[in-house]
Amino acid sequence: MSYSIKVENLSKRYLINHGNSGSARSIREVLAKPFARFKKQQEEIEVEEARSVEQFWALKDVSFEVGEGQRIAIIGGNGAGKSTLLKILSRITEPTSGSVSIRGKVSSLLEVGTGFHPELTGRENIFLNGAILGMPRNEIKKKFDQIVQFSGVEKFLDTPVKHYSSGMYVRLAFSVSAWLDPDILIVDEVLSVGDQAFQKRCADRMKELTGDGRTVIFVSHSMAAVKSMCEKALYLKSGEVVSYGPVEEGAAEYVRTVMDESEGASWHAPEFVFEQGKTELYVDSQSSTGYAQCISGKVCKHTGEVTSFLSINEPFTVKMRYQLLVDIPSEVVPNFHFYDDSGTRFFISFPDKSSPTAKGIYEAECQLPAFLFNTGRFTMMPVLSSYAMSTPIHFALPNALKFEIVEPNNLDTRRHGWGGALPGFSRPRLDWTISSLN
Amino acid sequence: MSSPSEIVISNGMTSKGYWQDFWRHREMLLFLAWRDILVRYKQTLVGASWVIIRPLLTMLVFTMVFGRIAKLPSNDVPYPLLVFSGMLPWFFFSSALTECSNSLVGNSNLLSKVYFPRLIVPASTLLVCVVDYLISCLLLLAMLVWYAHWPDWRILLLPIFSLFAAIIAFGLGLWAAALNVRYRDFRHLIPFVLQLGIYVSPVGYATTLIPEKWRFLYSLNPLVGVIDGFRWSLLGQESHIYWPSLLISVVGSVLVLVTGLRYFRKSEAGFADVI
Repeated sequence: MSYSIKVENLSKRYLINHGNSGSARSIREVLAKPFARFKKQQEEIEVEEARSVEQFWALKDVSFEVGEGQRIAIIGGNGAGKSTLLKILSRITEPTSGSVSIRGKVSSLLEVGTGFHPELTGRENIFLNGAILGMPRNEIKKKFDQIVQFSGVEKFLDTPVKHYSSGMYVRLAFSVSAWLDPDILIVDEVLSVGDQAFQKRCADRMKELTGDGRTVIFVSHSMAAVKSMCEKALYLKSGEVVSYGPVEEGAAEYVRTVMDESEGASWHAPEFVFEQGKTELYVDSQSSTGYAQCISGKVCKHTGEVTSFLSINEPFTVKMRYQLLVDIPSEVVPNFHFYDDSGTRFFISFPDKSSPTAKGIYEAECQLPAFLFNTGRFTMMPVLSSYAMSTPIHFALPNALKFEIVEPNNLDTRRHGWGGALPGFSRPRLDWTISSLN
Repeated sequence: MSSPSEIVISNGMTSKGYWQDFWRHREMLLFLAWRDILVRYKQTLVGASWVIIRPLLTMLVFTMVFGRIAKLPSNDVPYPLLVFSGMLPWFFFSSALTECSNSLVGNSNLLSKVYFPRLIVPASTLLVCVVDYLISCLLLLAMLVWYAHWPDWRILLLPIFSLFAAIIAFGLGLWAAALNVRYRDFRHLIPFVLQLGIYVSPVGYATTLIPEKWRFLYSLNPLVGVIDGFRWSLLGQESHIYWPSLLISVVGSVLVLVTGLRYFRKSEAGFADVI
């Protein structure tokens, strides 16, 4: 297949100057340098220079090819080199080494409304922005009505845009970009503008734009957007290519790594061991002391593996170990409280039979079926209660366990092709019947 | 739409097809100039009349100070006319240089978000200054009529002297614009230099005031030749043209333009990284 973009061994180095806070240097430093040389030994100077100017490789030996009419996504965390790559592809900055071959007319949208001037009217800005994006004037004239209609700001066309609401501003700004007609479209995360209705219109227009044989390079943090728009994904990490392949795989890998690395340690808590004074403990007037204490808890897959990443289509188990310090004079009820990541209680679960009350160590285990939880983050508070007592709470440990329900590759067959988010706490498998009435 | 042509991006490749690219972006150049003209006098009380008011007031002050108070010789020309014919190229030069030197930094959002030959930006500012200049030329015309001073054939050479003023301003402007991206000192340096420059250039007085032995040194300022040329072609002063100064202006302007272009082009690729 013939390519429209071929990237070969592309590298980009930035020099970070620690000697100065800003990137623009003061001429005094440069002028002062020759004099500095008289004072110091050559060695000292070199060490100092190496210290004050640090090299930073934003891209390292990146190679890939985009076929004609292919839509690819560039994904990766912050600082992975996505923006640098886009800037090189759009010719804003030069690579340090390597090359890019591009066939066809390129339009890049790294921002909406580039060059918009607040003092100019909407009409004037449409022409200005069009010219900056490389749209010839007669083409803008031809598309003017469409642009205006799309933006929905007809009434304010002759008002300076500084009087626009921010919503109107971005709508107009995006509208100009929406009618570009390049062979290759490079888009940074610019779709997330305006209100819901306008976002939908933008997304539709983007699909339309990307539909007819155009090559598209799209950068986004939203895996849902990436999956719905692109076929392939280039996954970058610290300036290097991790993978380049089908979008499903790339996105899944990205999500996996991001969870493991950046947030796994800080957020997820698949198990805990109770430590007096360290573990968060809920205490109020109803709390008792001296009857029982928590020992530990964990979340595990049905296979027994302790993990805080649970697939939506697999059942899992939550366990709690506790000790009754004395024989309890009333019924003992372990119970688990589940919350979503905003702290809203999803449900409380109790055992069906009564549990032992004699002094000793016990483990309570609760089975959670697949699809009870929707995808997302949840926390669990293990509690031990004796409701007949005047102080019914033996212990309650808020946020003791934290886990996340994931849905790799949108595996839920009841999505019926829907690739976006499915909100809600739960995604229960309920019985349905659809019968014909004619 | 257009036949797919292949572009290769690699280090140091911006030079290839630069001028074709520049030509292709000519509409953007015009639009940027149009924007600046449109925006300049928005939210001002007297609007575009500033183009007239500024040189007019300066001329009045200079005439008062140099002509009336210091009683400098005017070589049989009405002093206001002498001052104005010197101020016209000077204002053109100084505003073009100032605007050019700030143009890249002022449009940094464009530089970091869109590709285009960076030369478009200072070129569009120069264009704006040319428009201003042409408007103030009308004022000059009005003054010539007022003083009933009819220039002879030599006025046909005025565009050439204007061109040299533009070239010097643009050449220096390119240097300053590119350096300003890296070293913001030039933002402070340029206005300061221009402030002094108005006194070491024959704006408020005639060059004939300079003693003969200092004449050559004085003429090292390339604007001396340009301003003298202006006076010569407008006022038809009998005084002959001082050739060394004219030569310095011509050679200097070409030199400044060529080196300015070269430096600009060399540093252009890195603008987006350091701005």
